[in-house]
Formats: sequence, C-alpha cells, structure tokens
Amino acid sequence: MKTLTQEFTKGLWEQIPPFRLVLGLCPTLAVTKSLEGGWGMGLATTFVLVCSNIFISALRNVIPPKVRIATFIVIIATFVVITELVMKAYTPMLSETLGVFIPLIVVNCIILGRAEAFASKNGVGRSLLDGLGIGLGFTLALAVLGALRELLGTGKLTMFAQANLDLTIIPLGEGREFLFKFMVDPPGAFVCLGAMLLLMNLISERSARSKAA
Amino acid sequence: MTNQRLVVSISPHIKNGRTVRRMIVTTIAALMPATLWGFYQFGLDAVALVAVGITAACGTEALISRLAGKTSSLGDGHAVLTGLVLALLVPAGAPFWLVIVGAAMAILVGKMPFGPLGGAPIYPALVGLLIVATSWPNEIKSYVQPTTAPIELKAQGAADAEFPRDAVLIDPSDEAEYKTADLFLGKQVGPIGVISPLLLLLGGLFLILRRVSRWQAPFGFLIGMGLAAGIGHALDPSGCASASFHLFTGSAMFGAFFLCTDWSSTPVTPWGMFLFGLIGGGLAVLLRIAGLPYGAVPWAIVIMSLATPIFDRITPTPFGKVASHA
Amino acid sequence: MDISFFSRGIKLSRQVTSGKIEQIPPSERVVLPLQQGSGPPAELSIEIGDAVEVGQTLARGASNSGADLHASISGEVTAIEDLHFPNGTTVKALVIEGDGKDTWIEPDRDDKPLIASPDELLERIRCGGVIREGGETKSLAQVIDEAMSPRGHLFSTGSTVAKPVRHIAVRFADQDPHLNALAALTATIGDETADLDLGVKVLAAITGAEQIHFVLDNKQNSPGVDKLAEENDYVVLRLDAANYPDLSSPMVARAVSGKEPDTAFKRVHENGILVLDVDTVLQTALAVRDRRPVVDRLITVYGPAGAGVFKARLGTPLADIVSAAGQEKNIGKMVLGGPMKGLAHHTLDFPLTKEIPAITLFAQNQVTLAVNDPCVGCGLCAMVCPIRLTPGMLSRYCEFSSWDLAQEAHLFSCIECGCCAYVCPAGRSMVQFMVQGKTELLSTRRSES
Ligand code: SF4
Ligand code: SF4
Repeated sequence: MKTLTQEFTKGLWEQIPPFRLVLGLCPTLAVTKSLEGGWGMGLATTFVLVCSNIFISALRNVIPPKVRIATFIVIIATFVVITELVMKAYTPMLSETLGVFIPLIVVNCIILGRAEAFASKNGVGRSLLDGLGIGLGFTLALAVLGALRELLGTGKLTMFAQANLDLTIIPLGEGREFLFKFMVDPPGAFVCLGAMLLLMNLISERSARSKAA
Repeated sequence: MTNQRLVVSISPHIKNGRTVRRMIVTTIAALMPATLWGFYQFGLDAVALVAVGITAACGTEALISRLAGKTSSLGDGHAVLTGLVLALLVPAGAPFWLVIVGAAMAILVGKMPFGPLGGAPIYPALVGLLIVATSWPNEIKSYVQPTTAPIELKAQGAADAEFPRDAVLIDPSDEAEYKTADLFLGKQVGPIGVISPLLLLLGGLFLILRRVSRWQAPFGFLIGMGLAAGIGHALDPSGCASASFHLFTGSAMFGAFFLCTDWSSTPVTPWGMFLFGLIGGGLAVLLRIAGLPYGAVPWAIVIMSLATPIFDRITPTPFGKVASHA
Repeated sequence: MDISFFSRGIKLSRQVTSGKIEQIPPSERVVLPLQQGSGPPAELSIEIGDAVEVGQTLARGASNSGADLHASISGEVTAIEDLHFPNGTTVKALVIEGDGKDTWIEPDRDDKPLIASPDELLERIRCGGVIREGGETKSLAQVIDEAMSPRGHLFSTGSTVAKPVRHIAVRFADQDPHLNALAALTATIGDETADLDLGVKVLAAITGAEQIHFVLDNKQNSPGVDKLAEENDYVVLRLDAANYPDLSSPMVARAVSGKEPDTAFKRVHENGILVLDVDTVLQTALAVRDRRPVVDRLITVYGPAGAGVFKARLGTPLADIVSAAGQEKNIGKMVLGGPMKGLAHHTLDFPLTKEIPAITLFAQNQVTLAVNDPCVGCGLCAMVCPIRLTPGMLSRYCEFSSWDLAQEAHLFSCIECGCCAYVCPAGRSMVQFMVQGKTELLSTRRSES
C-alpha cells in the first residue's frame, strides 16, 4: 500500500496522465496552443476530478455495480456543469479559449478512469489525494506542452489573457503573428507530444540505468 | 579440399547488383538537368539554397543517428535526396533559414521517427516543405524573376495577390499572354527545380527506363491532371486554365515523376499506382482551383500518400486464381 | 535491362557452352542414397558384402509410386552410411567400392514395348528408377500416379475424382538459362529421335494424354525434334528461356494449355498437365524398351571458369566432377542446381544424385552475403513476380510473423523462383521469408488438425 504522500505524488511523474498513462489526449492536443489554455484546462479538470473522486468514493458502497458507469457520469457531469458556469461567469476569455473542451471534460477518460480504477475502490481521503495528484500532473503536463508550443509558435507566453499577463519572449517583426506557425497548428501538437514522450522515456531510462548501476 | 567449408545461403545465388544507394544516386542524377536549369535561371542564390538544403538534411540525419546511437545511414544518399528535393521545391528568393528548417523538419519529423528507410508514410521532403509552407506562407512565395522568362515578375510585395495558386503563377485569364511552348521549355516563374517540364520529363523517363520507378503513377498523375483540368476548362474557362497550362506549370511534372514515384509512400501494385496517380492528379487540379495558398501538387500527393495502404490492397489476381469480386 | 516492361519475370543471359557432353569415367567408389525425390526411401534388396554389376537393383521403391535404385558401378556393396542432405535431412546411403571392370547386367530387351499394358509400362518406369526433376523432385511413377488420380491435399477440398491428363509438355531446355544440360542433350539427339519418339508414346499410352507439346528455347535449332513433332502432330512451342522463369512448369503449363494453373497446394501436374524434361523422357524410353535403369545423369557444371555439360555415374563424388570440369580452384560456394533455385551445400563431399541437375560454383571473391535490410517499398519485386504477388508485402508479413495475412495474400502461390530476391535493392532474402512462412503455416495447420 502506498503512503498518502505517494498517493499524491504519483500523479506528478510516475503516472502523469498524458505522458505516462497516455490518457486524455484530445484536450492535450487541442487546447495546448497557449500556456493559458494548458493550465486553464488542467485546473478545470483537476477540480472536476477531485470533486468526483470524493463523491464517488463516498458513495462507492451505495452505487449498484451494474449502473456504476452511468452513475459516475452523472456525478462527473454535475461538476463539469458547475465548472463551466463558473468559468463563464468569472473568466470569460479563458472560457472562450477552451470552448467546447470544458463540457467535454465529462468524457475525459482520465476522470472516468480514476473513478473506475481508484475512487470506487478506495476511501475518501486517498481518493482526494489521488485526484489532486493526477489533476495537478495533468495541469503540469498541459502547461508545459502549451508553453512549449506557444513559445515556438508565436514567441509569446500567455499567462492569463484576462489580466493582460502576457510575456513576449521572442519579439517578432511588425505585422507578424507567428514565429513557427506549425507548432500551434494541430500537427505540431502531435510532434510536440511525441517529443515530450521521447524525453520522458529518455529520462526515466537514464535514471533506471543509473539506479541499476 | 573435401573438408573445405563452403558458404551456404538461400536461393537465388545471384543478384542483379541493384542497391538502394545506386537507385538513389540514379534519382539524384535524373534530377540534375532540371536542377542545373534552375541554377541557370535563378543564379547563385539557387545554388546556395540547394547547397544549404542538402547540408541541413545531411547534418540533421547525422546528428539524430548519433544521438539515437544508430549507425549512420547517410551512406545511402537518402538525406542528400531529401535536402535536394526540398530545396528544389522552394523559390530561389527564399531565406536560408527557411530551407534549413524545412530540411531539418523533413528528416526530424518526416523520416527518422519511422525507422529505417522504407518506413516513412509521407515523402519526407514534402513533410518539411509543407511544414515551412504553412508556417511562413509569405516567405515561401519569394519568387524571383528568372533570367529568360518572357514575363515580368510583378512586384514582390504583391506576391500574395498576384500568385494565388500553387506555382501556377498566372491568373488563368492571363493565359493567352504565355506561349505553352515557353512554359514547356522552362521559361516561367516558380520554385528552383520545377520550372522546366521538359527536363523533368526527360529525367522522369530516364528513371522509368532504368527501372527505378514505374510508369503507372507518373502517367496516371498526368492523365488525372489533364482530365480534371480539361473538364474544368471546358466548363468554366475563366475559372480553370487549360490542361496544358496545368500540366506545364508549377510542380506538376516534378510531382508526377519524382514525388509520385517515391518508394514507401506510394503503392506498389500496378493498378494501385495508376489510381494513386490518377486521383492525385485530379485532386491537385481541384486544390489549385480552390486556391490553396501554396503547393497544390505537394498537398495532393501527401493526401494520397495517406491512402497508400488502401491502394496497395488493389493487388492483381495471382497466377491461376479466379478473379474474385472482393 | 533485367526487368522487362512487357513481361513478368526477369531477363537473364544465356550461358553458352560448346554443346558437347563430356563423359566422366566411372569412379572407384560411389555413394547412393536410398532417398530419391520426396517419396519414402527405397527398401534394400541386397545384403552388405554382395557383389553387384552395373544396373543391378539395390533397393526397391514403394510398390506403386516409388523408384528403384541401381548400382552405378560394378563392385562390392561395402557399407551403409549416413548422408546429410543440403535440405537438412539425413538419409541412409549405400557405398559401393568399384572393381574397375564396369560389367553390366544383361536385361531382357523388349522391342515392342508399346503393346504392353499401361500398368506394365508404369511398373517398368518404376523399376527403371526414373525420377522427374524440374519442379518438385519425385519419382516419375508417382508423378503420373498423382496426375491421374489427384488426391486431396492438406488444404484443398479433397476431391478424388480421377482427372485425365490432357497435355504432356516435354521441355528441351533448362528452366534456368545459366544451365545447358538439356539443350546439349537436344543437340546430341539430332536426327536420332527414335528414343524420344518411344518415350513420348509410352507416356501418352500410360496417361492417355490428348496433346503432346514440345517446348523449346527460341534460340534452339533442332530439326530432328521439329520433324518428329510434325510427323506425329505434336505442337512445338518456342519460349524465351532468357526470360526466367518462362520455362518453369507452371509457365509452361500456361503456355501449352492457355490456362493458368493454380500454383498453390495443387501441383501443376494435377491440373491435367504433365511437364517433363527431355532426359526424363529418354530415360523412360530406355527403361521400358531396353530395361536399362537410370545409372548416370546429365549435369551442367557452371562456375567461374565457364559452363560445361557432363554425364557422370550416379554416386560419383561431386569433387571429382568439379575437378573434371577444371573448376576446383578457389571455390567459395557450391550450389546443387542452378544459381536461381539451387540449394547451397557446405561441402563438396557429396555424391551426385538423381535430383541434382547442375552444380553452380562461385569463387571465394564472388560470394556475397545477404544484406537483408528492411524493405524500402520500391515495388520492383511486385513488378517481376511471375505469379503476380506482392512479394515485398509478403516478406514483411513473414518477417513480422503475420502468417495469416501472408496466407491471405496468397503466400502459397509463390513458386520460389527467386525473381523478387534477384531484383531487390535492399538485398532481402525473399525466398527465405516465403519458405519460412509456408513452413510455419503448414506446421501450425498440422498441429491443429
Ligand atoms: S514471390 Fe515467389 S513467385 Fe513471386 S518472384 Fe518471389 S519467389 Fe518468385
Ligand atoms: S524489391 Fe525489395 S525493397 Fe523493393 S519492395 Fe520488394 S522487398 Fe521491398
């Protein structure tokens, strides 16, 4: 049995969702055009994940196994709607950027996966930590990917558009919008994701080797 | 003597001596006339671009092989071919960095992830080209006035408005101003290596005669383009130029003979190749008419490449089998 | 150019020889394997230590479809030893130490063999030890038997309806244009076509074939054969031997019948077409008329020093034949058969058997090792495959153990001609993949059933 800390930290590296579990790829590919999109999506997902994990683990002995998936979805959908409405009210620009991908959190396989594989088998405390860890890992991954693509693609980093917190890292000439447009195009997402996977594998291979040595 | 150990191997025990390297070298040789014509028309800029393209492609390949701890595959010449093809497909006025990024992307994204030669589902040079073409739509159109073109190239700044279609540089309504013969002989504006349909045709036929490529895909492509453009022209002469115009401009010939005949990204069965070409040609004309900003022919071929596994299923009926309807 | 636009297969150059057949004198010691062709081995009918004369029966083949084995020199049977075949099997072989006298047995001649019943003729062919090679090596009696009553094969539906043999095609040139034995034999036949005539008629009488075809190379000049054909209403077909494998059995069958035989599982002769080499036909004639068994065979020796055609007693050590051909220097590789389809063997210490049509030798510096790079997808193999397969794809299926896909793509139709490997720029061992795939599929089927 993992310790509670491990339950939390596993989501940040060992099981970091898009890279290690290779789950939740559609938001990963779609919203990481900018740093803002990355962390926004990540936090929204984290919120839903933590709440649904808590609820599902609390109700895990009450939910009849036959209808459990449907029940999970209802619970998840509830929190998704909450998230969506809150975001629309308080962060309209971010909500605009993420568009349809916020409602689509309902079908995000990470959330359903954690519900099925973890929350429905573990206690509330553990589920909370698990959800938080995995959610933050997802946020981290998306933010890194978003930052990378945005930086390469446009030379800028959008921290939070609503508050005008943009950084221009590489200044572009007059009238130019993109540095390397391919990177913010959908195919660029695949290439970046591939590169990140490669990097992750390299690092863990290296560390495994140095551990063995 | 009787105890001598001899070599044992599977039949056949003779081979015709064809090697991958030799076939690639032949392909490069077949590209030379068109390349030299490009050098003549566009001068030293073109020479420099081609050199930079080849160097960048080879450099990237060497670097990646090194990083990945693989034995370098530079020896087969494929990186040289990739760099060359990429450079031939960009206009002579393009900045160096464009070609460098293109060549690096071609190898990095288009070739190396798919393992050894023969794995790439899309022609690597086209991957590089389309990455840079979509990223820098203006720079990719830095057309230069060729030495002997009968037309004046209109001002650089107006590139976008004046040249909306691939390298079909002229508005179809202007067609009357150009002689088809001039186009065919290579007196036209365009990317470095593709402006001479005549020399490309000769190079392509040379490849076919040397059995490096097959005739089905190139001729299928030309027929497809001709048919589509012919029909389009008959229906709407102001919206679609004539078949000969489409065939002799832009990268049509280049695409037919040097891109449609790539190995891993095109089908290998006879009808598969022909249909690949035919549909690809039609698609290229459609994309041109639709006003794709750059590279209708490359795009058409890339799209077709993705369907290659489907075309490869059109196999001939084997010897002695009854043709099945499947 | 080795690849034609207009026909499948590959263009090879014909090897030119003097056209003479050199006799190699009987050697002092011969080794005769009991296994002949792919049937069961023959059963010993003499004892160790017996004195034998040339042509004396040493072992009997299976009763209806085997071939007998005969002494090829006179002397004493001294031992039975194990012989390792190049295909990996080990078989028993008889050793005869010669007495140098070369005395022959005196069989009863039958000057009117054609009045004998077909069964009697078939029996004489079996006793004569005639083997058909070219295609699958089997005893001629077995081939005829299969042709007339096709049995159900492992994969076929198992129909056992007797089918008449419609065509007999006699091949007057080797399948591989590098080899010359049959062409040289045809040249020596000249106008003396009595044996040929008899052989063909015997085979026609046994099988009831409707039409006889003579298949020649289009460069061959053979007035005697042409005349014989004309007198008897046989069809003469001239094919281009340089366009390999146009003279292989399935291609010849297509040429004579106008229909493509299925090359998977069913052998060509089970489609009602019997394709035989001319020396098989001549051996048949000798076996039924003179009752003279097969004790020697014709062999092409093709190597760095050129090509020659030799006739040697069965069981002669190959090393002797090679030195008689003057090719013993610097050998790096020896192939039993032609360069396109032969089996390589690791040592010259092997006897001449009925299955060996030729010896191909390579000097040490001519031996190239397989590269076997990944397929680059160039499609040349698909252009040359005479069976119209997509060999590149098949080889990949076999390389990655997708046996079922390979079978769906008609792996079993492959005739292992080697054209695809000949042209492959990546140097892939195509035939290896094909054979491996077939073996794998057959063994899984066997273990399932
Ligand atoms: S696949 Fe078989 S039949 Fe076809 S060329 Fe290769 S060896 Fe010959
Ligand atoms: S010839 Fe060789 S490399 Fe070319 S497709 Fe066939 S197997 Fe592949």
